[in-house]
Amino acid sequence: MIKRFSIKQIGKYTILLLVVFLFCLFPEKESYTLDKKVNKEISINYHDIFLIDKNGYISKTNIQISKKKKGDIIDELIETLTINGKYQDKIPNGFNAILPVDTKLLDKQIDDNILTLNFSKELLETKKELEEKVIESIIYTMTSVEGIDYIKIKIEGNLLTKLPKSGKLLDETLDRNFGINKMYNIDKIKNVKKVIIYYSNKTNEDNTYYIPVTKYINSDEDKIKIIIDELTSKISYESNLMSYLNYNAKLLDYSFNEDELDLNFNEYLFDSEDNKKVLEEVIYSISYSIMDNYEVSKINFYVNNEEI
Amino acid sequence: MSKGILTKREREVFELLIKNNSTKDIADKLNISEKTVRNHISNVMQKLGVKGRSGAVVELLRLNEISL
Repeated sequence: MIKRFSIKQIGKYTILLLVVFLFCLFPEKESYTLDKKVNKEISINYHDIFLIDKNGYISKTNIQISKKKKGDIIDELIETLTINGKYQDKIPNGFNAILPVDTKLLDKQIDDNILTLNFSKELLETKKELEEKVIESIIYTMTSVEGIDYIKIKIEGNLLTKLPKSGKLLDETLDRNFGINKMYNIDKIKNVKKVIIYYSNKTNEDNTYYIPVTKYINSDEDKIKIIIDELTSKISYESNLMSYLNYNAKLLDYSFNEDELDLNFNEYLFDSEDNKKVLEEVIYSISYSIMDNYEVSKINFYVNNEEI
Repeated sequence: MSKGILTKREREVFELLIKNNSTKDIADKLNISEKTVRNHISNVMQKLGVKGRSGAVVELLRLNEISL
């Protein structure tokens, strides 16, 4: 009886010791997982990038970047813009790189807010119909890097002042004033205005993204009114440029307060009568459009004089 | 700006034309006659192969020969 009890006890303690031993063997795995998770949270950053979408528009999207220094971020973005570049796997579905295969950024220089990019000659192998879009993609992506407002483009040390195939001229120093996805709706020479409007579209996975379009039009209205008029006008589905702003939405008034802008709409800014919410796509389309046309840092939305 | 298809004078005329200046305004600002202004505009339209002034403006904007 005593012998049987002792054997049972020995068995119990052996199992217990075995479990303790196993715990002692693998404690590092737990802490490793935790550390990895923490590190991952700290290091993930997203950065704007302007890639070509399925309809041929240069579109605003973003990618994860691992770099933190400005120079490294520039290198990573240029590599991502390059077809078959090092970071192709970062490109979201529905978008494509646009710089020709094997294009290399030979060197770069940052002087205050001016970035000079010196590319290899492969950049000139761009197809004629894409030449301007390549420049748009570079300008918009690079000026989304903090502190960069102007771009100079060189090819093997020589400033690029003319696109070789289309013959289009380039200023020595470029900025967003160059335009993007340009559309010309001019029928007379009076009151020609240039306005940037951000439309939206969806990827096949139903993710919304934004498409800036520089429109040349005849109008004697202020740019803010033109933006709202354009975003409320009937959308042509053929153009693949969408706006979620209700057709009946009206901008009642607006005012600038230093670098802030107050916009006061009627109730049609809301998604529906019952739901007093404004669609995220509406807020982004209006805000991006205004930020690219005016020097404002904050936009406040009101509906019938009540802040939302 | 590097040299494109416009002469310096033609570019000056169109830069003013796009900013709502009349032929007379342009002539006064550049110290040339109205007829010379019209000749410059006409020459540019011929170079571009377009008929109206607005067509010329669109084409020059497309080519980045002038900007707003």
